[in-house]
Amino acid sequence: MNMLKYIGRRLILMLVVMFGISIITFCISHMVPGDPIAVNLGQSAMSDPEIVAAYEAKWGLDQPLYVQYFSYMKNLFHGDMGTSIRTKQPVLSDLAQYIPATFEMATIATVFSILFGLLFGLISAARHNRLPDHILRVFSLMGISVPAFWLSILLLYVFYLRLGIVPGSGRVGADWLGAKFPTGFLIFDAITYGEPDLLKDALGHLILPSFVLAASTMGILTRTVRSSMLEVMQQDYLRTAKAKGLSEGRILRCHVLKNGLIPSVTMFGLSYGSLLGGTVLVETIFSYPGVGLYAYKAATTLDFPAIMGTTLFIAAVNVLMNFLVDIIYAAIDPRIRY
Amino acid sequence: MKHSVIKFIRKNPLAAAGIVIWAVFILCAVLAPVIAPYDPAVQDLANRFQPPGGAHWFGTDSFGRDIFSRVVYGAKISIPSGILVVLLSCAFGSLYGAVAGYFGKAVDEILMRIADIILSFPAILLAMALAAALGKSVLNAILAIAVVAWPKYARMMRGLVLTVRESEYVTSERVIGQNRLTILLKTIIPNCMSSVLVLASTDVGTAILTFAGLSFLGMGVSPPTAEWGYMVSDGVAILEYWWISFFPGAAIFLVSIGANFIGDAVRDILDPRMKTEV
Amino acid sequence: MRSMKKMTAVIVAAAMAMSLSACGGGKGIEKAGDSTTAAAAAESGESSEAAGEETTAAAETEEADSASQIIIGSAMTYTSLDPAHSYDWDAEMVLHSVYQSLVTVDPADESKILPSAAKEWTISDDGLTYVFTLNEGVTFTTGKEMKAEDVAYCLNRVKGVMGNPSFLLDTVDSVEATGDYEVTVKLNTVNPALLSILTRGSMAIYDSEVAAANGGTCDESDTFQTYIDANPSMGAGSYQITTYTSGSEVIMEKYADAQKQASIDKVIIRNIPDASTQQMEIEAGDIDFALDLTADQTALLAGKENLQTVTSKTFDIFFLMLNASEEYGKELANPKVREALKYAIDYEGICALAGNGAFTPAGIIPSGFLGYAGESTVTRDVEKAKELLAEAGYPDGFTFDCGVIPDMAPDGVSFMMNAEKIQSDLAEAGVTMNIDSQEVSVYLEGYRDGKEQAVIGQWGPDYYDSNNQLAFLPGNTVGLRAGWTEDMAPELAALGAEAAQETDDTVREQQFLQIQEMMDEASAPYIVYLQAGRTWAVNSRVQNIVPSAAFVLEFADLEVAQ
Repeated sequence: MNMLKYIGRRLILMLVVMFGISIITFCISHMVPGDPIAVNLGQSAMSDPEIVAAYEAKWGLDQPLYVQYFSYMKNLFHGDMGTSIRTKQPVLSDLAQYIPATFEMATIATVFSILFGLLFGLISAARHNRLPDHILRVFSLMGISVPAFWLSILLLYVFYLRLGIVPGSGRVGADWLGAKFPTGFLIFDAITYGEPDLLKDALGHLILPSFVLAASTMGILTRTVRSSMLEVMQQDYLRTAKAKGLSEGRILRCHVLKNGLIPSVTMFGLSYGSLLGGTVLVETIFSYPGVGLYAYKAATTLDFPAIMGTTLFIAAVNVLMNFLVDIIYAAIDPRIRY
Repeated sequence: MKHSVIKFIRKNPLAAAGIVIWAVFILCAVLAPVIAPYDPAVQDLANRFQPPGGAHWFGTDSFGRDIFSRVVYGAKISIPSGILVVLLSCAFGSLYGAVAGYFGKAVDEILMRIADIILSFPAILLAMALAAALGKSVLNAILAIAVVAWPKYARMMRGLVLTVRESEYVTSERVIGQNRLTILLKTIIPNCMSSVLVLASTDVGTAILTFAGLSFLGMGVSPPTAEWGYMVSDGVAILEYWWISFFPGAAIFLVSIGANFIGDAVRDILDPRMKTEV
Repeated sequence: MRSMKKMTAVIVAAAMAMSLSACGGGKGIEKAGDSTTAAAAAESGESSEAAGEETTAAAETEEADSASQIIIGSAMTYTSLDPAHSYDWDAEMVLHSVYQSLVTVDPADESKILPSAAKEWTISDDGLTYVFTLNEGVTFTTGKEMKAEDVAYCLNRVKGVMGNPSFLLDTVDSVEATGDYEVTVKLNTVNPALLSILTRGSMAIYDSEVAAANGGTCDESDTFQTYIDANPSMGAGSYQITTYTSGSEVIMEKYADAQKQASIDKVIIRNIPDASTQQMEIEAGDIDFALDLTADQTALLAGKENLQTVTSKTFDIFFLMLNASEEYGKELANPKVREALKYAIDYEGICALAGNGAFTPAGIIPSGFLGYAGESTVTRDVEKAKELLAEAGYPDGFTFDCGVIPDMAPDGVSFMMNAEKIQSDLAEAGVTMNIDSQEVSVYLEGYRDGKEQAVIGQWGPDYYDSNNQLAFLPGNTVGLRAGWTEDMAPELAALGAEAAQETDDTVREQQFLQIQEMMDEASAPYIVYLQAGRTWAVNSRVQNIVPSAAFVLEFADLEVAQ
């Protein structure tokens, strides 16, 4: 059972990496100059030693750094990520509120980019060095090169301000504000509980930010699919297949597609992680209440527990995706040994 | 000579476009004071929010400053920053990856786990935190982005070194008793450079985007320095005055796509696997 | 190979099953204002009070069809609506409409104290004992009647939890219920600003029994904040908070038994941090109020058909702080240099950029406060600035660093825009001001510790009495931040201490005017360049808008046209 051994080793390494991330995040966030207490106090109160001392004690900031780190890690193992200094809510419940929002956006973006990335990549490869390939090449490079924050503003200007065909910022319209959703995954909830209005509303709010997020991954994916397809097409066994007289379509389906998609799988995994990171800029512009906006605010106000929480979460998703990619990679590529 | 230029353009129209874009922006960066019709920092409150046209090709911003001049001056910041980020991260990353791959075993394991850790961070957040920790300046922003960007070079280099290490010419050098470090520096790394160059050339665009993103979030430059990302954020406040964000954003887009056009061509030329056509 | 594929399938299936099971068992979607109130109350376990609440909620649901509501777009700065902790200007409008305080202010003139929960009060001759008599028959949304014990509990809680507003009650020795409807407040020092302090949202009165049963201890171990932020509010104001999601939205519904009846059934405050998004949404009619627009935005919206703009005042002053200490201020420690900079700045230009009714006051006392010295008479004179610089020994100018928070625009006045304008003005006088843009946590630390060479600063009064501005005097809170110690201007410090204790308003006014004159002569380490106004864009269907510098906006007065 080589596979199990391999998975076991990878799991241990994942823990090591997460541990390293926690230390680095903790060190950097405490290295940054600034006082999180002052942000949370009024201009007069922040100079009142009694109030400041009470706050420092409350948030454990009066302890030496290593004590703060160990108590954080101890609590973390008990499922407690601490309380956000900024929102005053447990980081876990903040994350529970924001993760579904970001997950939804990143997933739709992934669907966008996989669908179009695959399609465009295949077309490019099939029509290699002909007009469709050239057009799609420019198109995908545009996707990679466009600054997400600028594209967001342009799209908002055109589709919201000028044309008025999509709702503006936020996650839901006025009708659904403050509503309690069973899972927090709005699309899932809307379908499960039969709310077509909610579905329309949520999708409307998701379309622009997801598109912006998808633009660059779609471009990268198109390029990856194209080049790996081309590479496979040059392999000897394909020449053999061709020589054997197999039809073009059959070759494409049986050999090229399967072998050519392997690098793309890696891309899917890696891009999901970068999508989550990319939400910082996009969510800030769209005022979309997700992990990215939460992380950005935590970083600017030095909300240590929230910084730790969001970084660990995004890093964990990255690490997990890498892990899954490697496993799937191993499963579909017979050449890989562990 | 003339003939070969035409041939190049016909064969690589995108690369040619990329080179032209970059030539224009490098010219802007070098000759900014000559090209720009106005001083980029001078305010003119009587002429705020002038739309593009007339005396101001790209219009004016909230202080009545000429946006065209500011975009021209912006090239002085963005282009060197993007290149510097790539140089730093590529140099450090490839050396790091080569050492890991060549020495293998525990060294490899430890070095690559560290790279994994950096790679698992949400890049923009880590860069933000580092920029804040180092203190806000252009150089610190560049450093912060480089710190986030090097692991992908390390990974690639390590993979390449692993394959090259076992190749016949390396084994033969080892047999004749060459020093390990010499082999690494003189034989292995040069043999892997072409693939690294491909990655680096496509990475310039990403680096410029990340830098602009950081300045957009307020890390990096301080006013009155004209920097594209910062200028885009300036225009976010009022979308009606679209030109404030549009032109600097378009500059970022152009430079980045130019780099990608060139990078794409470099990939086609250097990547040995792509040499033969189907 | 096969087995590996199976393995992958198993992993994927397991992941899906996990996510599905996490989703299962939900109760369905509950829109805000449906049954949220009842559900939350039922969870709270206050059986008797919860019953009362359920009926209110049910009654409201029935008439939901004809219910009126308004949506307010606001860049929320608060992260808690617990009165004992909350301390943000925009939380005032919520607290003010949800809770009653003992006294309140006249929105037209903040120096006028009006009765609220207390119908009358007496002050002892020595100024140290205040006795308040409460209105009878006022009930909280929980059904309990408001009594003196609630007032005493809530004020003691503010004082005891060591939260943000605790310092406001530093001069209060004790608050006791001396009868069912009588509250006695004893002071340790005379404080002419006490009534003004008691109008603040932090001094809100709520059901003390619920508080005591849910973690309220009135000392540092108090945990009631978590409860109060997660449950419907329990005050006696015109509205009740039914849902509060920190950093996202506040939903308030009309409280049917309030003393002051509101016209609009439901008020929703949505957090829209971006001013540009607020602008788009108000134009699209998605929100009724946009509270944080810049002057450039309101100017664009002014002519629009379905919109109106409402301009009002604030007491917020913006200033360039120039550190007076040799160690941190360097060149700026020289009063001559500070005077020179005063003449180099184009005040008209800054106020025009800030718009929304901004102007430059002559000193630290804002317009609307006792002792306001009128608008500034200083006009820009670059030549004079250069001469003064030469006299100070800097004929070729000098360079200094100025800390600025980049993405903050209180009252729609962008710190960065002010800084860029001042930077350009000073450049003409040969002085280079490096803008050091800092995250708010970095900025505040350096500013508080008096270690910044210069900053662009803003001061919003803690309460609406000139005494609050005495913080700017040497040796006081803001003075020390500017490196201005008591021994640098002992006479000013002494006069300030005297004014703080004075109870006669005519004497106080003279003292405040004199203080500002002396500060001017001494080239105090601040250049106050503007007092901000406030301009909102409001949908024209909303009527009877009563802005207030103290509590921003009175929701209960608002009406919507049918």
